[in-house]
Amino acid sequence: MKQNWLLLLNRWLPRRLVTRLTLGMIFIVVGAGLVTTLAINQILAYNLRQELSNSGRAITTSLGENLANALLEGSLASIQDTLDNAVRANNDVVYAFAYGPHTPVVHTFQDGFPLDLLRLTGQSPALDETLILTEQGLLHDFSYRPLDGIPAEVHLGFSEKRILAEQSKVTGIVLGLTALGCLLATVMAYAVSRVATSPLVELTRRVHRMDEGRLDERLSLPLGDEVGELAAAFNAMADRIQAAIERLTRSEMGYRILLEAAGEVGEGIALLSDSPGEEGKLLFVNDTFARLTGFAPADLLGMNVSSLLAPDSVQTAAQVWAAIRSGAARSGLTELTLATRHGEHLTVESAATRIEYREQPALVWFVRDISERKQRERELRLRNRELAALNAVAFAMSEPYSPDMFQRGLREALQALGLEIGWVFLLNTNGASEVVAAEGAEFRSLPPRFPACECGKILSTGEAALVAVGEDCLLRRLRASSTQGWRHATVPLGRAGSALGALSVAIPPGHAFEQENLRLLASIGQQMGVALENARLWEELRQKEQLRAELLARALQAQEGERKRIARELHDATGQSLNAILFGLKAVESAAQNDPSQISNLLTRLKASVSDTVRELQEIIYALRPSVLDDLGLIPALRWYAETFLEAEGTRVEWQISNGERRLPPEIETALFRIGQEAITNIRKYASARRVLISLAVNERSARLQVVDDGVGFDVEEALAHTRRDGRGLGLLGMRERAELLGGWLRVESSPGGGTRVTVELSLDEERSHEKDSHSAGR
Amino acid sequence: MLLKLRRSLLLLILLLSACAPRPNLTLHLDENRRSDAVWIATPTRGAGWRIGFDPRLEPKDDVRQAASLADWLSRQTGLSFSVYITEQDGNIVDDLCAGKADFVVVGTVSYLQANDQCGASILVRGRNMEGEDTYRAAIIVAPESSIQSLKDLRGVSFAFGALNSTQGHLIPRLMLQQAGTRLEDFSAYTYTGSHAATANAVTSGRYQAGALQDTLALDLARRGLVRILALSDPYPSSGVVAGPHVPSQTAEMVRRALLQLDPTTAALYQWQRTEMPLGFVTARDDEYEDLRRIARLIGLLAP
Repeated sequence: MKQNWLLLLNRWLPRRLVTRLTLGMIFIVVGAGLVTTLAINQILAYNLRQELSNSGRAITTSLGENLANALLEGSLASIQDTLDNAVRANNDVVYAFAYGPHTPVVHTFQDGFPLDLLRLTGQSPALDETLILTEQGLLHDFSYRPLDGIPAEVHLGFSEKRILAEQSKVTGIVLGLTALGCLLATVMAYAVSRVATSPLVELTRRVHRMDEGRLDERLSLPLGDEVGELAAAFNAMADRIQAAIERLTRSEMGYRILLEAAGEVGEGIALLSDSPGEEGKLLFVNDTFARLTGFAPADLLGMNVSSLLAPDSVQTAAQVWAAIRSGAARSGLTELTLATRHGEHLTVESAATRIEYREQPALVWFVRDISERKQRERELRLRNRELAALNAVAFAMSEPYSPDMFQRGLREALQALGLEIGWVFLLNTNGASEVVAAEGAEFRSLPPRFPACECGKILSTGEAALVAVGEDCLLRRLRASSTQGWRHATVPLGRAGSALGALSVAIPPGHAFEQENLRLLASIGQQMGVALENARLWEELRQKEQLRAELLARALQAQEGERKRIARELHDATGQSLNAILFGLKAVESAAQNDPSQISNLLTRLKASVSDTVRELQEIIYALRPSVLDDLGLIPALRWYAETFLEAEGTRVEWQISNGERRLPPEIETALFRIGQEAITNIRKYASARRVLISLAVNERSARLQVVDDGVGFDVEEALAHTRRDGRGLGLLGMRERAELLGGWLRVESSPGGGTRVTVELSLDEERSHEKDSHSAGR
Repeated sequence: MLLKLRRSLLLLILLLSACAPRPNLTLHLDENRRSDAVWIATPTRGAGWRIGFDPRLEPKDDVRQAASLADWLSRQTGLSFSVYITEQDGNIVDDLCAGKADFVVVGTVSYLQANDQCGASILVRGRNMEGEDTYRAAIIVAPESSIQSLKDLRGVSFAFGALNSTQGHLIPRLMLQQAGTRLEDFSAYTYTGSHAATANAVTSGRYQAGALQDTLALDLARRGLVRILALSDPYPSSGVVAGPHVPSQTAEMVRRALLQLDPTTAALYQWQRTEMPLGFVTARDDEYEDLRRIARLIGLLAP
């Protein structure tokens, strides 16, 4: 109760000590003034009453003595006069009356004697005082019987008005003095309080400065009073606090360095109270921890750590910490879920150990955000699964193109996705589709409506589609009654716009098919498309390689034939001529010895033989490579060849030359000459043409040579097919190979009876060698 | 501490409140007034004996002396005694004879009158400061007065005491008679009513000569206020007289008691101022003959 009365007073009072002291002094002065006023009032009243009593007794006694004789003698006039004088002489006396043994009551009342006063007569003792309450207020009736045993009394009535007036007067004075005292006390109390509290203010300021960390500052107040002793105690306390803080700082420094070092490497660290009743209260957090939770470090202090944990992790954390409390040096790594301020859940890897922090048991809790790692692991698992599936699909489809490769690829895809039903469409050259692989059902029995169905859109968008099984769907058509709620995912094989087909998998009702699965299926589809394209390219390459080998064999064969021809011609012509020259020289030698006159004839014939031999050698060499090509360029070389092999046989050759005077790079000129040479040779050998038009157009970027005849013509595809089968017709392929090797192209247009048009265009760009490579690779 | 403070404050308040007077009675002074004379009812006479007195000093002193004697007698005899006060126009001798008073302390004149009037008997008479049972009267003048003897009193103004006073009137008359001076010889004479008034009349010069009891005259003379012109012979002093209706046993009981009175030890009011400061001795009626004669002569007794 008393504590409550003090708390209430403390709460009610102003906070400032100066104000409190001033108020206290005012209360004291006012209280003392009131008490003094009351006491003085009462003491004054008491004394005045005593004085009144004493004077009343004295006056009454005196009056009684004076009147005794008159009362005994019955001198009424004297009595009356004496009584009247007594009333007049004393302001306090309001009435007087007396009677003697042989007199009536003599009194001072103007309007008759109040009979109530008779109640005051005949009292004992001789001198008496009776306080009576009358209409005039309190009156003191003093009675005196001057003669003992004689019925003679004198009464005087004294009023208290003077006492009350004195009381009021003194009360007013004392209250005025009290007010003045209050004023002076307020001023003095304020001044004294300021003086008295100034050391306390200084002390308070120093305490604040200590709170701000100025632990080295001390108070220098004179000893000898309480404040001085307080200052000394404060200084002693500051010394101890400074020493303690220094010890604590050194102790904590180690912790903090450790914690900060750990924080710098990404460890979130928190100190949790383990004191009874405050378990889990956060005492310290580093910036990393605060950043993980989304709170400011200051906001976290004082919070309970359970509010930062997901509900499913609270129990786990409690078990771990309980194990530490029970004696374990530290916990192992524990995965917990941290609920951030923004409602996100972070997976953290945590460990804890128990320490003493500020002399209280505490737990150091290390947390590391592994959400990204977990996400990566999950993505890695998905990726692994995807890669495994893609690898399996790639492996399945890595073989040379065959229908079974789609079946194997489809099987691997279904296995990776955990599904059972799927199928693969392939588009043919006319845009129709066919089912080349199916699992879980025999879809090949049904004519596919792809790409006219819903999932045909993927061919244009190139993106995977997850659609409900529709009326056009193979699955619905095959299992109409049992496909309610089924979906199927369809992805293109290959790139958008150039998709080669589609891969579809059927998804039964309730089966989760996430975006990752759709992405995986798209990857598989792309992989299958690439594999399909690769397979096709590989097949094409294989055929080309086969053709190239045949060409090489034919080239070697032609080279060998040419060598034989050259050897034969050298043997048959040049050799014979040289032997003839040798014989002629021997004849000259013999003539020189036997008949020098024959030498001149012999030398003339020998000279003719040498000339023939030289001409024969020039013909052989020209046939191998006309020098006109090197000396004069492409057009003269072609003119020479056409005139030699066509016009000599009656075929008219026409020319259309545009910018033909420009010399082209040697390899271009050689290629165009050889292609033109091959076309002319073919015309001479097979066309039976009457007219041949040879046109050459050269611009900055390319050179186009076209040889058109009006001969018998032929079936180009069939000729090429023959070439692939038996190697005949290699001239066409050789021309194409030569053009493509230089980054150009060659087109042969012919039909039986319709003549033939051979067009070749070679790039003059400096980068043609690169294009050549790329064109070669592309074809 | 706080509890003690609160208790002290409460006590102080109570004490201060207690200082406020509380009326003993509530009276209505403005009501029930009477304009005519209001008499206080006096108790009727009871069984006690009432002692009257002869005015000698101030009435109150006479009453107080008589009252103290009455108290002493009550204690001494076991009887009840009270003071009897003569009415304003009354006479103690008449009251004694009428039975209103039972015993009276009176001077010689009053005794002679009572004895003469109703046969009252004197019980004891007093002993003065000298131990004598007589007293004298003195004729005084102012100290500077030219009057040297009683014979010089002719033609002067003279103040007597009370008419019935033995020392203030009776004995002085006897002295004047013996000196051959009559009342008619005075230029003026008066009865002041008391020895004190007589002394005042002389010392104030209002009267050239006066008659006083010897004790007062000697005292005044000793202080130089008066000069004693003549002292009388000793005469039986004042005494206590019993009314004729008082039984003789009672009168005897009172006489024996009074004879045993030692005023020095008894609590009597200013008894030294009386004419029997040392108590009483037995008195006989025949001892008053001279005075009775002169009293009768001057008219204080019926012829």
